[in-house]
Amino acid sequence: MEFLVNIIIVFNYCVGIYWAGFNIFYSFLLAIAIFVTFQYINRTKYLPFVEFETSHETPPVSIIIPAYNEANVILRSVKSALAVNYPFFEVIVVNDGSTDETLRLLIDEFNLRKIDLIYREHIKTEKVIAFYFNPAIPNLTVIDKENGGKADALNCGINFSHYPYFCSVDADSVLERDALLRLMTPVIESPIPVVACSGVVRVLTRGNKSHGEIELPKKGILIFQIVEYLRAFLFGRVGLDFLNGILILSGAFSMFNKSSVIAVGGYSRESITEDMEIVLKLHKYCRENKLPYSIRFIPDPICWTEAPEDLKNLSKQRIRWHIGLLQTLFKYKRMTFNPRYGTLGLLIVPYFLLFEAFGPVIEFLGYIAIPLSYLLDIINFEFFLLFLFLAFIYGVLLSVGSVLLEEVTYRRYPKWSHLLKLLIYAVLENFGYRQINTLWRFKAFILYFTGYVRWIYVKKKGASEP
Amino acid sequence: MDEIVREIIIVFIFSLTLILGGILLFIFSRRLYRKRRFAKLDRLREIYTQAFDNFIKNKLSAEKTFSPPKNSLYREALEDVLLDGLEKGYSRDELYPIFEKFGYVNFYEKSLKSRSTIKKCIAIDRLGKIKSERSVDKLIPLLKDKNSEVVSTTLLALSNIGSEKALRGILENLSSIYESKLAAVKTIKTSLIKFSPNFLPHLLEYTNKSRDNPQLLAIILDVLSNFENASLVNMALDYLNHKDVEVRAQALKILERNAKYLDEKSIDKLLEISDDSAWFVRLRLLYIFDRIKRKNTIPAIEKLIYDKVWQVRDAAARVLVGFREDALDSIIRVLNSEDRYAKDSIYEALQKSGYIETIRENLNSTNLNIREKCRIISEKIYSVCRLGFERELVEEKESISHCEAFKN
Repeated sequence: MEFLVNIIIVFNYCVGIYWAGFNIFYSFLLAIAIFVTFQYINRTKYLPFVEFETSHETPPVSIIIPAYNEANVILRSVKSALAVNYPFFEVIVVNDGSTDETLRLLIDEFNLRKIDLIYREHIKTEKVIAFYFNPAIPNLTVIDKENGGKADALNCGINFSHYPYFCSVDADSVLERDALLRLMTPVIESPIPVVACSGVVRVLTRGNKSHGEIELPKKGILIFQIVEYLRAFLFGRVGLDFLNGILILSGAFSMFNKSSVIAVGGYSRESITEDMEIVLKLHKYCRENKLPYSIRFIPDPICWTEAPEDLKNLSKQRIRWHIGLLQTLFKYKRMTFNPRYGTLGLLIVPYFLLFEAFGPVIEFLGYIAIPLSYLLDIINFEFFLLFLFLAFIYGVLLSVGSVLLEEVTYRRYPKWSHLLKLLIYAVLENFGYRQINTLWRFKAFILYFTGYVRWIYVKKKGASEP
Repeated sequence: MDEIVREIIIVFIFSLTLILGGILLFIFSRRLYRKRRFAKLDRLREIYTQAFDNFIKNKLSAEKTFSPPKNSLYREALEDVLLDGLEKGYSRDELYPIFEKFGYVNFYEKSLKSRSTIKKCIAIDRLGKIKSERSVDKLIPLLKDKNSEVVSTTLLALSNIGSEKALRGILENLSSIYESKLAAVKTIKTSLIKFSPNFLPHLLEYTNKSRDNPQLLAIILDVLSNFENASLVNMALDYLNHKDVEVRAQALKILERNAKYLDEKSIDKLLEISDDSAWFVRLRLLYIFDRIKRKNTIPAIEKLIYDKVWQVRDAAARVLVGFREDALDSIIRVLNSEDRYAKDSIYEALQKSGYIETIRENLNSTNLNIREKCRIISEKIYSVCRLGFERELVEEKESISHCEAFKN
């Protein structure tokens, strides 16, 4: 018994130090994010989006949309891609062996005809079956191929693309008209080559638009995710961008320099989260070859993407993300605390490993250890309550900080009722939603270390446009 | 020890609660403030828009039409309306005096001395949008600033002003801007392209000065490729044999833009470099051949279909097919060759361009010569369909009927 008590005491101290370290870093990120975001908003007063809208210097971009059984959502996504306000682009839809009506819907909607085109396999992919094209929409091509997974579909799109940059867009995503232009402007202006960059992704749901205005969804689970996305994008990634430590660019909407991606062998088919894996691969490649580069996150351009509307699908998504995170971090474990990779190796990768990857384990065990400590009289009731309250207040602060960032950037939820709802959910997420996420991520941890790695399909419903 | 920890936690809770309260207060008060401010701003914009319409229609003086802005909100509203007017194309000569009279130019010129990069850049940008020629002397020194944002914004502002002085200022500093890498090459080009074609002599003069600096020369040639002017042709032809590959490529870009001014002598010079060592030079050449559509270029194009670089092959096939009936002999020769990649390129170009439909129609042509050639080509396509075009074709009705159409 005494041994158990001692273990718990030591563990409590470890959790305390861990929790302090984690939250100091998070506070640091939040402070940076607030500062950078305010600066960026001021910068938009003179950033030359308009100049590049019509300039021949604006580089052409291939928008690649991989699709597997996306019949509910594919037409919406392709139409929004074709409607972007950008001087030169092409849209490549890669039908990855869908068993539903995805291909047929595309053919019928855009009046496509089968055409024989040359397919150059810079990156090995599954077999391409056919190409579909309509001369009346010369910048749209649909590729039908055998199923090989999202990474394989993206690689196929890369092989076919004609332009020096490509933008990967999920089949359930909707781009805002200026999204691509806003994403590319810092790329064009940067004196250092930008090999990858991404923008803000927001949650798209049914009933997003009512009487011409965007509405918050009615389902609580979706509002929780909106708050989470705000925290991840407007706070987490902005802060990491400042430290030149972007490790994850959302697969829903990100842009890459094509030759850099081909140089690293394209997306990895073995990886569950290919969007994270490709970024780490690019970092590694550029640093090892001493190439000047940057990987950016722009807090400006907007893409709307679907989110799971029930706990079952949400759990699948979160488990997949966490397994993917673990898989990628362990694949590139040599970068951890390696001075060869600069800030990335010494700070960013260790942060992800210690706090993002292992965090759920510590947190989960903490949920057991703290009440156990109280029951075993290691800590008294007052101390127990104080610690709980501190954890709660801090969690609320981070979420409310994210809502603040949504207020000062592109405020997509303008009504007072929206603001109040977001703030209420920012508080409520600390009572159950966070904890269930921790449980899922802990489960993912167990699944990963017991050898379970499989893509888990998340069901899409086909929400209206924003 | 417990007591200390307890107090630390209480202090943290208290501090975090204060911060949280501060953030909430900030959010709510900011919303309220901005709601009122923007409502007022919208009302003022409406008033100023009406005044502006009145000013333009009735050609009244600025003093009679616009009341002096009382505070920053009025200034912002009036500025928005006037800048909107400039964007819509109203005369700068009419609107600029209003900016000057109401102190905008003085205000922004003062802000150029600000330590804040953002304030400085906003001022630079506004002076550019206002097209304040008098501010050019104050903007040019900013091209030497150590901050890349300032340099980039100044480049674009000077190009928005668009005066001769502004262009000369950019050109004088171009070398140092390029060496210091404080502005992206695309920003430099975007800014130079915006100047009027009337200032071409300045750009041409600069090309003479930068003969020894191939990178800068290539940038200026690229800028010149956006202008259509017969005087550029001879200059570009001179650079076709430059040792720097980028210079040669940009010279070709100029010629592509001015293709209509090319005579037979110029085309002969182009044909001489059709085996240039750089693939993108050969590619640029093809773009020119596509523009001029001269029959004497067909042999050179046909040769480029066998190029080792796929981008050149692709372009050569597309350009060749663009010659339509004039290129039928070449197309047949390529389809009879052993080069699979060349044949694939032709098949793709025929389909994408839609010329394959014309070939099908020509099977019934009254011109026996064309009919025969189209028959040969269609037989080739049909045999490829049966054997498989680069990969096994799916046995769908569509593809079979497509092949069936070319049967005798």
